[in-house]
Amino acid sequence: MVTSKYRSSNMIILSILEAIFRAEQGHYLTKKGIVKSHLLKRCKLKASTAEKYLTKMEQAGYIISSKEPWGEREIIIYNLTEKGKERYRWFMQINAELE
Amino acid sequence: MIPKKNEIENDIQQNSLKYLHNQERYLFISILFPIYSIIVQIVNMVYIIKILKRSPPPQHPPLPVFDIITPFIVFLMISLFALMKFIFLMLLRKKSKNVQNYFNGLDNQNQMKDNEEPREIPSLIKILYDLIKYMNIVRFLFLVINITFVFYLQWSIRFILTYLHLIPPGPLPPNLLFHVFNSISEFGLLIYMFFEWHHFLRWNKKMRKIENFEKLVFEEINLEKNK
Repeated sequence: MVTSKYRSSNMIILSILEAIFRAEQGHYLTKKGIVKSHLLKRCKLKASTAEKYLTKMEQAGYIISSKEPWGEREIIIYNLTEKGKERYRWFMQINAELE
Repeated sequence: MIPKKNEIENDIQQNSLKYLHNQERYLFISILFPIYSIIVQIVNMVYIIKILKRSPPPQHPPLPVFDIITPFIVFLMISLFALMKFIFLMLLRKKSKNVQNYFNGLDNQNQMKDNEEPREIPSLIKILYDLIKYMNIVRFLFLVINITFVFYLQWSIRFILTYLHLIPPGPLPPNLLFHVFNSISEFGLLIYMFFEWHHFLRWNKKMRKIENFEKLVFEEINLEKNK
């Protein structure tokens, strides 16, 4: 069914947006975003699913990734773009409209 | 000076919590009338059982099957409807409370360090989608309740006509109290149906907006195409 196809993927997309949005609010002074591994745990996503969605969301302009050094390794940090924030706020606004 | 970002997050939080509390209130109010209706149906069922136990007088026909089963069907459907709403209300309350507790402690809790493991944080998105799922079930049951209402209306009209001697009396003529209870129940049910129709018409309108939004996002993200 078409609606459930949209819904299940939207739940994942919006969960990702929510997790990054909240992480950014927590780090509002430093604008750090969220580490990829934390994002996966918070959204309870498998690595393969997350990879697919994160790639597509970045291509669509919802999120932006950056690499930062962490000791000897590199970690990937995700932040929302204005478009991503708008989509998240838009969904929350539709839902919170009083009936 | 508070940065603008936190104001936006606060607005989202407050509006979402307000919405969840409104939905809880709707679920609570919409359980109240069914409780009365269930009591009336129990009275009706007792009346039916009483008739069935007595042998009908020779000049009166036995009670039709439709008259026997209608109170039972109405009782079952309304009970199921009220029970589902009650269960969803309890589930929603629990989730809302978790979110409320999380937001209340947000200032202290959300300052994550780089290597800190993420704690279990309630997701508003998940709660909102759970609510959509619950309402879809309630909406389906409500459609069935509409059909049940038609059955109930026919059943009550027959007994009222009997009381008014417009049709031959059945095996046991119903007394005034029986009619008063059922009339209040039907009148109340009429208002209750109007209340629920009003709610679901607005709910459906909102669902259309959400579905359009989901379609837009799905197409923007372009999940089906491999680049």
